[in-house]
Amino acid sequence: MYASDLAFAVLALAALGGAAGVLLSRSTVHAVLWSLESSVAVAGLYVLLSAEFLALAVVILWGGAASLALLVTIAVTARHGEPVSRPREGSLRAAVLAVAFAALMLARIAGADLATAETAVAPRMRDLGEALFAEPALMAASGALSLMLLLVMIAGVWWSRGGDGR
Amino acid sequence: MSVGPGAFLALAAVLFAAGLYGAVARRGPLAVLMSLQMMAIAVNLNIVTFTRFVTPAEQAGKLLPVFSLTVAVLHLGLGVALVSGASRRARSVQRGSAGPAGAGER
Repeated sequence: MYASDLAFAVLALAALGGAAGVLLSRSTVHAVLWSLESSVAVAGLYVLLSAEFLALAVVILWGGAASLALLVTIAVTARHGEPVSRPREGSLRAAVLAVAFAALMLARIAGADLATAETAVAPRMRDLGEALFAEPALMAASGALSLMLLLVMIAGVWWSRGGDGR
Repeated sequence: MSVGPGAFLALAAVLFAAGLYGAVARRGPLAVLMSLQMMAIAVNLNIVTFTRFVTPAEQAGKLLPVFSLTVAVLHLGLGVALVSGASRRARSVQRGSAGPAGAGER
Protein backbone atom coordinates (compact mmCIF):
# COMPACT_ATOMS: atom_id res chain seq x y z
CA MET A 1 0.00 0.00 0.00
CA TYR A 2 1.39 3.37 -1.03
CA ALA A 3 1.61 6.30 1.35
CA SER A 4 -0.70 8.21 -1.00
CA ASP A 5 -3.35 5.50 -0.60
CA LEU A 6 -3.17 5.83 3.17
CA ALA A 7 -3.28 9.62 2.92
CA PHE A 8 -6.29 9.42 0.61
CA ALA A 9 -8.10 7.07 3.00
CA VAL A 10 -7.45 9.32 6.02
CA LEU A 11 -8.39 12.53 4.17
CA ALA A 12 -11.50 10.99 2.60
CA LEU A 13 -12.66 9.75 6.01
CA ALA A 14 -12.00 13.18 7.49
CA ALA A 15 -13.94 14.90 4.68
CA LEU A 16 -16.89 12.52 5.04
CA GLY A 17 -16.78 12.79 8.83
CA GLY A 18 -16.86 16.58 8.57
CA ALA A 19 -19.82 16.40 6.19
CA ALA A 20 -21.66 14.08 8.59
CA GLY A 21 -20.83 16.46 11.43
CA VAL A 22 -22.32 19.41 9.52
CA LEU A 23 -25.53 17.48 8.90
CA LEU A 24 -25.90 15.90 12.33
CA SER A 25 -24.71 18.55 14.76
CA ARG A 26 -27.45 20.46 16.54
CA SER A 27 -25.35 23.52 17.25
CA THR A 28 -24.75 25.87 14.30
CA VAL A 29 -21.33 26.80 15.70
CA HIS A 30 -20.33 23.13 15.83
CA ALA A 31 -21.60 22.72 12.25
CA VAL A 32 -19.31 25.56 11.11
CA LEU A 33 -16.36 23.90 12.84
CA TRP A 34 -17.17 20.55 11.18
CA SER A 35 -17.41 22.36 7.85
CA LEU A 36 -13.97 23.85 8.49
CA GLU A 37 -12.57 20.39 9.21
CA SER A 38 -14.10 19.01 6.01
CA SER A 39 -12.67 21.92 3.96
CA VAL A 40 -9.17 21.34 5.31
CA ALA A 41 -9.44 17.62 4.53
CA VAL A 42 -10.50 18.42 0.95
CA ALA A 43 -7.53 20.83 0.71
CA GLY A 44 -5.33 17.85 1.62
CA LEU A 45 -6.94 15.90 -1.22
CA TYR A 46 -6.07 18.77 -3.59
CA VAL A 47 -2.44 18.42 -2.53
CA LEU A 48 -2.64 14.71 -3.42
CA LEU A 49 -3.98 15.78 -6.83
CA SER A 50 -1.00 18.13 -7.34
CA ALA A 51 -3.16 21.26 -7.01
CA GLU A 52 -1.23 22.96 -4.22
CA PHE A 53 -2.31 26.48 -5.21
CA LEU A 54 -5.97 25.51 -5.02
CA ALA A 55 -5.39 23.80 -1.67
CA LEU A 56 -3.95 27.04 -0.33
CA ALA A 57 -6.91 29.00 -1.75
CA VAL A 58 -9.37 26.58 -0.13
CA VAL A 59 -7.70 26.89 3.27
CA ILE A 60 -7.63 30.69 3.05
CA LEU A 61 -11.09 31.21 1.51
CA TRP A 62 -13.21 28.35 2.87
CA GLY A 63 -11.28 27.62 6.03
CA GLY A 64 -10.50 31.21 6.93
CA ALA A 65 -12.80 33.79 5.36
CA ALA A 66 -15.99 31.75 4.93
CA SER A 67 -15.88 30.12 8.38
CA LEU A 68 -15.13 33.46 10.01
CA ALA A 69 -18.01 35.12 8.12
CA LEU A 70 -20.39 32.35 9.23
CA LEU A 71 -19.26 32.56 12.87
CA VAL A 72 -19.60 36.37 12.89
CA THR A 73 -23.08 36.06 11.36
CA ILE A 74 -24.09 33.60 14.07
CA ALA A 75 -22.75 35.96 16.71
CA VAL A 76 -24.55 38.97 15.20
CA THR A 77 -27.89 37.32 14.47
CA ALA A 78 -28.23 35.18 17.62
CA ARG A 79 -30.70 36.78 19.98
CA HIS A 80 -29.90 37.14 23.62
CA GLY A 81 -31.12 34.15 25.60
CA GLU A 82 -32.00 32.14 22.49
CA PRO A 83 -30.06 28.87 22.14
CA VAL A 84 -27.89 28.64 19.05
CA SER A 85 -28.62 24.92 18.80
CA ARG A 86 -31.82 23.72 17.20
CA PRO A 87 -33.66 20.42 17.23
CA ARG A 88 -32.30 17.93 14.72
CA GLU A 89 -34.09 18.24 11.40
CA GLY A 90 -34.64 15.39 9.00
CA SER A 91 -36.61 14.68 5.92
CA LEU A 92 -37.31 11.27 4.44
CA ARG A 93 -37.80 12.72 0.96
CA ALA A 94 -34.48 14.56 1.13
CA ALA A 95 -32.75 11.38 2.32
CA VAL A 96 -34.28 9.36 -0.52
CA LEU A 97 -33.23 12.04 -3.03
CA ALA A 98 -29.65 12.14 -1.72
CA VAL A 99 -29.28 8.34 -1.57
CA ALA A 100 -30.74 7.96 -5.08
CA PHE A 101 -28.36 10.61 -6.41
CA ALA A 102 -25.34 9.00 -4.73
CA ALA A 103 -26.32 5.52 -5.93
CA LEU A 104 -26.78 6.74 -9.51
CA MET A 105 -23.46 8.55 -9.54
CA LEU A 106 -21.55 5.68 -7.92
CA ALA A 107 -23.04 3.20 -10.42
CA ARG A 108 -22.01 5.47 -13.31
CA ILE A 109 -18.50 5.92 -11.89
CA ALA A 110 -18.08 2.17 -11.33
CA GLY A 111 -19.15 1.43 -14.91
CA ALA A 112 -17.14 4.20 -16.56
CA ASP A 113 -13.87 3.61 -18.36
CA LEU A 114 -11.80 6.44 -16.95
CA ALA A 115 -8.69 6.81 -19.08
CA THR A 116 -5.88 8.48 -17.19
CA ALA A 117 -2.89 10.45 -18.43
CA GLU A 118 -0.64 10.25 -15.40
CA THR A 119 2.63 10.61 -17.23
CA ALA A 120 2.19 14.28 -18.10
CA VAL A 121 3.80 16.79 -15.78
CA ALA A 122 1.49 19.04 -13.79
CA PRO A 123 2.07 22.79 -14.41
CA ARG A 124 3.94 24.78 -11.77
CA MET A 125 2.46 27.75 -9.96
CA ARG A 126 4.64 30.11 -12.04
CA ASP A 127 3.17 28.61 -15.22
CA LEU A 128 -0.33 29.17 -13.88
CA GLY A 129 0.39 32.81 -13.14
CA GLU A 130 1.86 33.34 -16.60
CA ALA A 131 -1.14 31.65 -18.22
CA LEU A 132 -3.50 33.87 -16.26
CA PHE A 133 -1.93 37.03 -17.67
CA ALA A 134 -1.02 35.69 -21.12
CA GLU A 135 -4.33 34.14 -22.18
CA PRO A 136 -6.82 36.89 -23.11
CA ALA A 137 -9.82 34.73 -22.23
CA LEU A 138 -8.49 33.95 -18.75
CA MET A 139 -7.56 37.58 -18.20
CA ALA A 140 -11.08 38.67 -19.21
CA ALA A 141 -12.59 36.04 -16.93
CA SER A 142 -10.50 37.17 -13.95
CA GLY A 143 -11.42 40.80 -14.67
CA ALA A 144 -15.11 39.93 -14.79
CA LEU A 145 -14.75 38.00 -11.56
CA SER A 146 -13.06 40.95 -9.86
CA LEU A 147 -15.91 43.23 -10.97
CA MET A 148 -18.42 40.70 -9.66
CA LEU A 149 -16.59 40.57 -6.32
CA LEU A 150 -16.82 44.37 -6.04
CA LEU A 151 -20.54 44.38 -6.88
CA VAL A 152 -21.24 41.59 -4.40
CA MET A 153 -19.32 43.44 -1.71
CA ILE A 154 -21.42 46.58 -2.29
CA ALA A 155 -24.65 44.53 -2.39
CA GLY A 156 -23.62 42.67 0.76
CA VAL A 157 -23.03 45.90 2.68
CA TRP A 158 -26.36 47.30 1.42
CA TRP A 159 -28.34 44.17 2.30
CA SER A 160 -26.73 43.67 5.69
CA ARG A 161 -27.75 47.22 6.59
CA GLY A 162 -31.37 46.25 6.00
CA GLY A 163 -31.65 47.02 2.29
CA ASP A 164 -33.00 50.54 2.81
CA GLY A 165 -29.71 52.40 3.04
CA ARG A 166 -30.20 53.38 6.67
CA MET B 1 -0.15 7.55 -7.19
CA SER B 2 -2.16 4.35 -7.14
CA VAL B 3 -5.50 5.89 -6.17
CA GLY B 4 -7.40 6.31 -9.43
CA PRO B 5 -9.89 8.98 -10.48
CA GLY B 6 -12.81 6.73 -9.57
CA ALA B 7 -12.06 7.02 -5.85
CA PHE B 8 -11.98 10.82 -5.97
CA LEU B 9 -15.13 10.99 -8.09
CA ALA B 10 -16.94 8.60 -5.73
CA LEU B 11 -15.93 10.71 -2.74
CA ALA B 12 -17.13 13.86 -4.54
CA ALA B 13 -20.45 12.17 -5.35
CA VAL B 14 -21.01 11.22 -1.70
CA LEU B 15 -20.06 14.73 -0.53
CA PHE B 16 -22.44 16.27 -3.08
CA ALA B 17 -25.25 13.93 -1.98
CA ALA B 18 -24.64 14.89 1.66
CA GLY B 19 -24.80 18.56 0.71
CA LEU B 20 -27.97 17.94 -1.30
CA TYR B 21 -29.59 16.30 1.72
CA GLY B 22 -28.63 19.23 3.93
CA ALA B 23 -29.81 21.85 1.43
CA VAL B 24 -33.23 20.16 1.11
CA ALA B 25 -33.79 18.96 4.68
CA ARG B 26 -32.38 21.76 6.85
CA ARG B 27 -34.42 24.86 7.55
CA GLY B 28 -31.91 27.27 9.03
CA PRO B 29 -30.43 29.62 6.39
CA LEU B 30 -26.88 29.17 7.67
CA ALA B 31 -27.25 25.37 7.65
CA VAL B 32 -28.48 25.57 4.05
CA LEU B 33 -25.52 27.81 3.17
CA MET B 34 -23.10 25.30 4.68
CA SER B 35 -24.73 22.49 2.71
CA LEU B 36 -24.40 24.50 -0.50
CA GLN B 37 -20.75 25.06 0.45
CA MET B 38 -20.31 21.29 0.72
CA MET B 39 -21.84 20.83 -2.75
CA ALA B 40 -19.48 23.47 -4.17
CA ILE B 41 -16.50 21.68 -2.60
CA ALA B 42 -17.62 18.42 -4.23
CA VAL B 43 -17.95 20.11 -7.64
CA ASN B 44 -14.47 21.58 -7.28
CA LEU B 45 -13.07 18.18 -6.31
CA ASN B 46 -14.56 16.76 -9.52
CA ILE B 47 -12.97 19.50 -11.65
CA VAL B 48 -9.55 19.02 -10.04
CA THR B 49 -9.79 15.22 -10.44
CA PHE B 50 -10.59 15.45 -14.14
CA THR B 51 -7.85 18.02 -14.64
CA ARG B 52 -5.29 15.86 -12.85
CA PHE B 53 -6.13 12.56 -14.48
CA VAL B 54 -7.43 13.48 -17.94
CA THR B 55 -5.71 16.74 -18.97
CA PRO B 56 -2.86 17.31 -16.48
CA ALA B 57 -0.86 19.58 -18.80
CA GLU B 58 -3.75 22.01 -19.43
CA GLN B 59 -3.26 25.18 -17.42
CA ALA B 60 -6.81 26.43 -17.91
CA GLY B 61 -8.03 23.31 -16.11
CA LYS B 62 -5.98 24.30 -13.07
CA LEU B 63 -7.40 27.83 -13.07
CA LEU B 64 -11.05 26.88 -13.57
CA PRO B 65 -11.44 25.60 -9.97
CA VAL B 66 -10.05 28.92 -8.71
CA PHE B 67 -12.82 30.79 -10.55
CA SER B 68 -15.39 28.26 -9.38
CA LEU B 69 -14.16 28.58 -5.79
CA THR B 70 -14.39 32.38 -5.97
CA VAL B 71 -17.97 32.23 -7.27
CA ALA B 72 -18.86 29.81 -4.45
CA VAL B 73 -17.41 32.20 -1.89
CA LEU B 74 -19.39 35.02 -3.55
CA HIS B 75 -22.65 33.18 -3.04
CA LEU B 76 -21.72 32.47 0.56
CA GLY B 77 -20.95 36.17 1.11
CA LEU B 78 -24.28 37.18 -0.39
CA GLY B 79 -26.10 34.59 1.70
CA VAL B 80 -24.44 35.80 4.89
CA ALA B 81 -25.37 39.41 4.01
CA LEU B 82 -28.98 38.39 3.35
CA VAL B 83 -29.21 36.49 6.66
CA SER B 84 -27.73 39.44 8.51
CA GLY B 85 -30.09 41.90 6.79
CA ALA B 86 -33.15 39.72 7.40
CA SER B 87 -32.24 39.40 11.08
CA ARG B 88 -31.83 43.16 11.36
CA ARG B 89 -35.19 43.76 9.67
CA ALA B 90 -36.93 41.19 11.92
CA ARG B 91 -35.56 42.95 15.00
CA SER B 92 -36.77 46.35 13.86
CA VAL B 93 -40.25 44.89 13.21
CA GLN B 94 -40.19 43.38 16.68
CA ARG B 95 -39.19 46.70 18.18
CA GLY B 96 -42.07 48.46 16.39
CA SER B 97 -44.71 45.93 17.48
CA ALA B 98 -47.22 46.54 20.29
CA GLY B 99 -46.10 45.87 23.85
CA PRO B 100 -43.98 47.38 26.57
CA ALA B 101 -41.17 49.63 25.34
CA GLY B 102 -38.01 47.69 24.68
CA ALA B 103 -39.73 44.32 25.09
CA GLY B 104 -38.79 43.21 21.61
CA GLU B 105 -35.19 44.31 21.80
CA ARG B 106 -32.32 41.80 21.61
